[in-house]
Amino acid sequence: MGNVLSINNVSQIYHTKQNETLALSNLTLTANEGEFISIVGPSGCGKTTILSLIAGLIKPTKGSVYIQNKEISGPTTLASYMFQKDNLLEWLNIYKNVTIGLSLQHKNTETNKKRVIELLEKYGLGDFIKSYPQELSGGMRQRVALIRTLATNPDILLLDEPFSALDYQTRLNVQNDVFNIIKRERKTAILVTHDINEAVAMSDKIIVLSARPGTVKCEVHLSFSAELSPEDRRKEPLFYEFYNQIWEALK
Amino acid sequence: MKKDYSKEHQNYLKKQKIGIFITHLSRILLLFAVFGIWELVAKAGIVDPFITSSPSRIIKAIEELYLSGSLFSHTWATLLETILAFSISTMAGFLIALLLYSIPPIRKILEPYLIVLNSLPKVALGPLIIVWIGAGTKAIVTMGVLICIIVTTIGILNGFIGVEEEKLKLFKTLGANKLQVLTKLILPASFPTIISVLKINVGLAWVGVIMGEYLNSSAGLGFLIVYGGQIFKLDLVMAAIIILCLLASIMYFIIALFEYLVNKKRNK
Ligand SMILES: Nc1ncnc2c1ncn2[C@@H]1O[C@H](COP(=O)(O)OP(=O)(O)O)[C@@H](O)[C@H]1O
Ligand SMILES: [Mg+2]
Repeated sequence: MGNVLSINNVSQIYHTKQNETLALSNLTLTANEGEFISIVGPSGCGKTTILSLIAGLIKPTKGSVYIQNKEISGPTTLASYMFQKDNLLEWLNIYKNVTIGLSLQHKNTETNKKRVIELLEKYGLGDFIKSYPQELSGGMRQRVALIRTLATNPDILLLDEPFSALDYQTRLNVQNDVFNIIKRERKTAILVTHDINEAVAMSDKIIVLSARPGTVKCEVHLSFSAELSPEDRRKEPLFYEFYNQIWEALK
Repeated sequence: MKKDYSKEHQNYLKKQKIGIFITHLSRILLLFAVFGIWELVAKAGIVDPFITSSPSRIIKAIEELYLSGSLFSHTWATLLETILAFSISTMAGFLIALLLYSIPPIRKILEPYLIVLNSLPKVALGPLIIVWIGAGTKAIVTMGVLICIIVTTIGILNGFIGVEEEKLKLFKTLGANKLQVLTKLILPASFPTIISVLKINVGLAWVGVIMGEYLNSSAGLGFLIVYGGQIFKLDLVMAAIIILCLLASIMYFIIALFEYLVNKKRNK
C-alpha cells in the first residue's frame, strides 16, 4: 500500500485588496490507497483550501502536492470533487449528468458506459436514468453526484461537506450509502466536515486542524473493525470515546 | 402515463380545466367587448369617430390600403427592418457579451461605458445617424440596433456571469477545456436568461424601428402613423397600430415557440 496522496509542507496565502490571509501553514498529510480520511476543524481554518490544492484548482504558495507520485500543477482528473450542493445540470438527464466527466474527457467507451449504468443500478438509481434532477429527492441527487465523481475513475474522491445540506434523517442514510459505495469501489476519500459525529462514523483516520492558519493539530486513527457501517459504528462504545477525543482536540 | 386517480383528484383536475377555459374565454370576450363598445359609442355619436376612429373605420382603412396595393409594401418594410435590427443586435450583442466574458480585463475597462451607453436615450442620436448613414432603411435599422444592442449585451453577459462558481470548478476538475466549459456549461446554463433577453429585444426592436421611421422614412408602418397624423386621418394611424400589435405578438410568439422547442428537446 503506497501513498496515493502526499501533501508536503504546504502553505497557502490568499491575497485580496483589503488583506492577505495565511490560510494554511506548513501542512503535511498523506493518504494510503483505499483510506477514508476526514478533516475536521473550525470554520475558516482552510479545509476547502486543502481540497482545492489537491484538485489543482489553486497552486500552493509553498510546498507541493503529489497524487500517485505525480506533482499537481493544475486542474487534475486524478482527483474528483463532490460539493455541498449536488451541482447537477438541470438540462441533462441523470445518465448524462453522471457521464458528463466521461464525455468531457472523451472516454465515453462502451465499457465505461456499462460501468456507470451498473453503478446507477447497484445504488438504487436504475429507474431514474432518464429522469431529470428536478424529479429526484435531495438524498438521491447526492448519490447521483457521488456516482458522477466515481464515473471517471479518479484515484481520490474529495468530499466538501457533501451532507450538510440534507435533513438529519436523509443525512444518516446518505452517509451510510456513500460509505458503502466508496468502500466497495475501494476508493481513497478525503472528507471535509465540521460534524464530529459524521467524521467518526465514516473515517479510518481523522485529521484535526487548528484554527487559521490551518496546521495539523493531531491525527486520530479509528480502530473500528472493517465490516462496520456508519450506522453500526454509532452503536459501539468506542464511538463515544473517539467522539470525545476529537471534541477535546478541537477545543 | 395514465393513472387511476381518485374521484376527488378527478374533480380537482376538472375544476382546474374549467378555470383555464374561463380565463381564455374571458380574454376573448374582453377583446370583443372593447372593440364592440368602441364601435357602438362611435356609431351612436357619443364620441367623434373622426378623432377616435372606430373598428369598422379601421377595417375600411386597411381595406383601402390593400386596394391601393400599399398594405403589404408598408408592412413588409417595417417587418424587414425589425427582423434585421433584431437579428443584428442579437448576434452582435451575443458576440460582444462572449468577448467581454472571456476577457475580464476588457470587461473591466468597458464597464462604465456600457452603463453610460445604456442610460443614454438612443433617439438622441437620430440626427447623427441620418447625417452619417443617410436617410432610409439603413438608418432605420441602425436606430433599431442601437436601441437593442446594449440591453442585449448586458443581459446576456449577466447570464454568463451568473453561472455558479462551483459548477465551473466542477467542470475544471472533470477535465473540461475552455471551449467545453462554454458549450457544455455556460451556454446551456444561461439559456433561460438569453431567451428572456430575446423577448425584451423583440419589443425594443419594434420601438427602435418605429422611432427610426418617425425620424425619416417614406414607407413603413411608422411612416403611415406619422403621415396619418399629419393629414388628420386617424383611421390610418389606428390601422397601422393594429397591424403593429399583430406583428409584434407574432414575433413574440415565435420566440416563445423556440423556447418551448428547445426545452422539449432538452427534456428528451
Ligand atoms: N479565494 C479566496 N480569496 C481570499 N481569501 C480566501 C479565499 N478562499 C478562502 N479564503 C480565506 O481563507 C480561509 C480559509 O478558507 P477555507 O479553506 O474556505 O476554510 P474552510 O473550508 O475551513 O471553512 C478563510 O479565512 C477564507 O476567508
Ligand atoms: Mg469550506
